[in-house]
Amino acid sequence: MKRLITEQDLERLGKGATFQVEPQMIVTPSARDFAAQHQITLAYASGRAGQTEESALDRAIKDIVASELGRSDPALVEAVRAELAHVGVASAEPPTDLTPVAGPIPVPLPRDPGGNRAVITATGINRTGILGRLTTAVSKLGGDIQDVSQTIVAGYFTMILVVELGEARRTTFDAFRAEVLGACKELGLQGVVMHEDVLKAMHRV
Amino acid sequence: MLYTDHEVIETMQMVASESLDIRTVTLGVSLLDAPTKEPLALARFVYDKIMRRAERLKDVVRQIEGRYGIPIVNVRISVTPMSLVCDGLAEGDYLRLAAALDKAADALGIDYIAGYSALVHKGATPGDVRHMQSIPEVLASTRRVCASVNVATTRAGINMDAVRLMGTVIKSTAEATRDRHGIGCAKLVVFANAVEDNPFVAGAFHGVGEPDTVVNVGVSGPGVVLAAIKRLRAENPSADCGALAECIKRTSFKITRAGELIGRQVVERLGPPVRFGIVDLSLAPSPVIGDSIANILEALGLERVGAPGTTAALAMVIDAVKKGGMMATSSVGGLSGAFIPVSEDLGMIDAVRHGALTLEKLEAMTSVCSVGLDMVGLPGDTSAETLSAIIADEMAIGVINHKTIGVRLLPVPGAQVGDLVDYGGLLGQVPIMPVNTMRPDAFIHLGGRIPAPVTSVKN
Repeated sequence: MKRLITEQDLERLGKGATFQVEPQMIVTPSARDFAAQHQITLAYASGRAGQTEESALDRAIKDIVASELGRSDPALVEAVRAELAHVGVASAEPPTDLTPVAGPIPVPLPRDPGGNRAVITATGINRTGILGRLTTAVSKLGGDIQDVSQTIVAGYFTMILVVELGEARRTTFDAFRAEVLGACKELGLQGVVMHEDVLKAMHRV
Repeated sequence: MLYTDHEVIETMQMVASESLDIRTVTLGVSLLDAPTKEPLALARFVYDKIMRRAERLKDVVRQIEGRYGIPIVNVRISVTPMSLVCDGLAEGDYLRLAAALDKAADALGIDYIAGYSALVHKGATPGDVRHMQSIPEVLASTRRVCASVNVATTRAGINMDAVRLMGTVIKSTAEATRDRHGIGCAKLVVFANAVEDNPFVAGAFHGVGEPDTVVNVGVSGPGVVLAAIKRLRAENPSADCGALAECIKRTSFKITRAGELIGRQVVERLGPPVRFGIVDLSLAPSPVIGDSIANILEALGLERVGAPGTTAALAMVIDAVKKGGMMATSSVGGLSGAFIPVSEDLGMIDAVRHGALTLEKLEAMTSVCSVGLDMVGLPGDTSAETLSAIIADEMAIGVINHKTIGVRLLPVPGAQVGDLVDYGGLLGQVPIMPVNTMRPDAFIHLGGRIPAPVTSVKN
């Protein structure tokens, strides 16, 4: 399990400080912005063999290709890698930080049609701070919460979140769902994550 | 809120606790473009083409399932009726071709491949006859191949020679798979008015009027319909038939929309030349508690399915399902009726075992919306003529009413009335039902063709 480095982790450091990013860490986009604003240097662990970096990048490319195309395609993976190397991405920064690399990937990949919103319902016993913790968990995954509602279903407290996943090239819907369900479980909630298209199809003519 | 709480929670419950699922995504593949009739080359072509077209099918379906959170229960393949593909080949070559289908399904990890079929409603070619005669051996020697034969249409009438032959084919198939309770018969359907875009195996085949490769989707959701009826009756105990039909209609609309969404997404991801075919608006049960058509009829107030009133209740339910579905999609097709595979519906099994549901009542249900006598277990000593006669009755119902009817009978070798034969998995448990013992032999031996009915002339 990788550790997520958020804004809060960096807040503790003073201006001009240096933060050591270990290979098992993922730095969120907002944390990177925060670091830039406060002149915090993100130092990536050095001494890693080029081999390791390459394979991590390869893995990320493979995942993206697989999620976009629906199958693995070694030729395309190689093409993307070559293209990235060409634009100088592969060596620019270690890939453990999975933030976007040098703008859009310069290979036309088929995009998911329509929007990319998830609807999360989480049911359980109401406890203080539970909504805050769930929304924090979703935000950490890169989800932009667009709507929140709370209601009681059959005596159980139920939260409904509509979350924009944006381009979210880095996470498949599947992976996002697994993470959210994991977060729900930790909070003692029963979660269901659905793609918005399902609701749109069923309830909008 | 972009969606009301009610809408979100209703959808969530459908998936989480009411068994909303897509029953089948079936890829229809045309084999009419075979460039050769040389048996070995033809078998290789059949295998290669199926592999080429369906290579990514399972992966894509799993992705869509993950993305939308709606389970897709079955992924299957249907092909051009093999009697057309094989016509002109010698007897042994039919087995070779069936083995190629089996091998392709096996390599793709697909449980059933359908289309070992023949269309003989007006008459059979010598090739068709060889095809029908090969069925017992094919079904015994392959695991995944499903066969069907269309013996009647409203336009042509009923081919009684074929009906007679299919009685003996069913009997031989049961014998050939005697060591597995005659399981071969579970992969064999006899049809009237068979459709070209049926996504439901075992009776599926890819019709000659279809494009090269299509995705047909079978939606289901007896569990969702049942829950909706129960909810309405709990909220409003005075809800009448009209209100209940309206409730079923609305529910069906939602299920169908989900089905179409999934089907179109699968097509989009598979890319050309795959095209979207149809959504089959059927209610199909599964051996899961609550996912039962019998339970729906019982929720409408019948003590047990099979009671007087069952036919009317079924007609109302399925008609409402169709109305909701037709509003939801412009691509209605397939059988679009009630599947009542007795062995796959816990409520039906229960009713048979309590003596509430008989063969005759099942037959009556096929005259309204049921798509046939499906997975009906019969005593092992049922004669081929009796099987043919049961088929003939069903064909007549289909032909006169302009509807598709399928018959899947299981004369389980060695089984007696009252036995419960367990096939395991999706096929479930088959209760052996009593059959009328009066003999129809002389009628069946008449042969020939029952002429097309007066209603066939529409011009």
